[in-house]
Amino acid sequence: MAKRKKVGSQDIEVKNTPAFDKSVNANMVFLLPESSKAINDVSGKSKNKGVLLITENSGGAKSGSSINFIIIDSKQKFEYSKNNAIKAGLKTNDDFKSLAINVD
Amino acid sequence: MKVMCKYLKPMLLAGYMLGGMVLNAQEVKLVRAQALYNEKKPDMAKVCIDSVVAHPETMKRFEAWTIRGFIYFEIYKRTDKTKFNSSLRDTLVASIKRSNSLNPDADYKSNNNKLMSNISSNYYLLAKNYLQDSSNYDKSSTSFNKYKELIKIADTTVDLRDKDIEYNLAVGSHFSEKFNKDKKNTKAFEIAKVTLLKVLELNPIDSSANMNMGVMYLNQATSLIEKIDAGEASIQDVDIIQEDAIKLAKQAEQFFLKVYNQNNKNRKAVLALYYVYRVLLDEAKILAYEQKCKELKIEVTEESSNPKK
Repeated sequence: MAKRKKVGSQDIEVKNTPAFDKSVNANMVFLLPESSKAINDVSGKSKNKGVLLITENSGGAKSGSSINFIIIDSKQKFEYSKNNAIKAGLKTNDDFKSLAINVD
Repeated sequence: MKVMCKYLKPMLLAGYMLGGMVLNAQEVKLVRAQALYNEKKPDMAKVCIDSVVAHPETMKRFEAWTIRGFIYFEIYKRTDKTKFNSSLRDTLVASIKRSNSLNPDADYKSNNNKLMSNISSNYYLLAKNYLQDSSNYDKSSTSFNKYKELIKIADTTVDLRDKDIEYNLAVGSHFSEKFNKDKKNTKAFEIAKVTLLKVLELNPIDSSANMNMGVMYLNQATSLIEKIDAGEASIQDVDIIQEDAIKLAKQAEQFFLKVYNQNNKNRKAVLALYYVYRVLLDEAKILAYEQKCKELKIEVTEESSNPKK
């Protein structure tokens, strides 16, 4: 998908790293469930840098991520924390809230 | 039919000698038709026999109708065997039915049955050819129904359950394969669904029918999920798509479980269930079936795609 999709006019590049690498100038950081312990560290380091932090772990949005994927009734849903998004330096759109499970 | 010739001539002669009756023109024609048939001149025999069965004096003779059936069969074999519509075949079938209705003796009845059985086999072959060569379900199923109708006349004790299963499974497999290759082919899906459900009505644990049904539903479910994975669905639609995919995956699950419950080492069923639970996002079952796949040395892909076949 990343190979053929663009965000606006920008290409998408996906980098896999075993640990959070501050030097990578990422727009989005996706923490896999096995890396969920690093949420606080990553959210702290990426504060006000406009990085969207996404997790896939129970309680992830309450621990510092802006979006957290969860499974409810066999369906993929997502929690959204507007507060965390603002802390991360992101501009938020309230339309987005209507699609999510809001945690704030 | 040689047998009939042996009986027909003495019978007519005996009637002539003992009863002092005169062989009328129609009876002579009947003997003539039989002789022409034996001389392999069915076109000439046809003219004779058509006149015989139309005449009031001979129209109620089962011998005449049986001979007519055999004469028409000879011509039919030459030109119409592979035709879907054949007036020759219709006429010969009608002739045999008429002969049967006139209480034929054992020999004639036996010959009638042989001919009916032969025609029914031709219909079965037509059903098979229309399915495999042109995927024409309408013509195939019509031919199959004719096969059943005629074989029941030839053998009133025949049990068609196995043949019904065999035919419907062949149709179901054929069209499910077509659907799995082109998921927009909803007609193929409908035909496959109807015929496979017929198989399952006759034999609820038929593995092939259950697997084919399950794969069709699973393929539909995974196609929907792939739309999301490929970024083709808008975020507003994701919920509805997931809902639909879950329904389809649950439909698939019940068919696969029937196979799995008969044999928990069935590789296709184990793999299929693994993919079903991937669609259903059931973590515990994904892990359980992943483990079963490992035990059975089944390779699974990490994509959310399906096992296809």
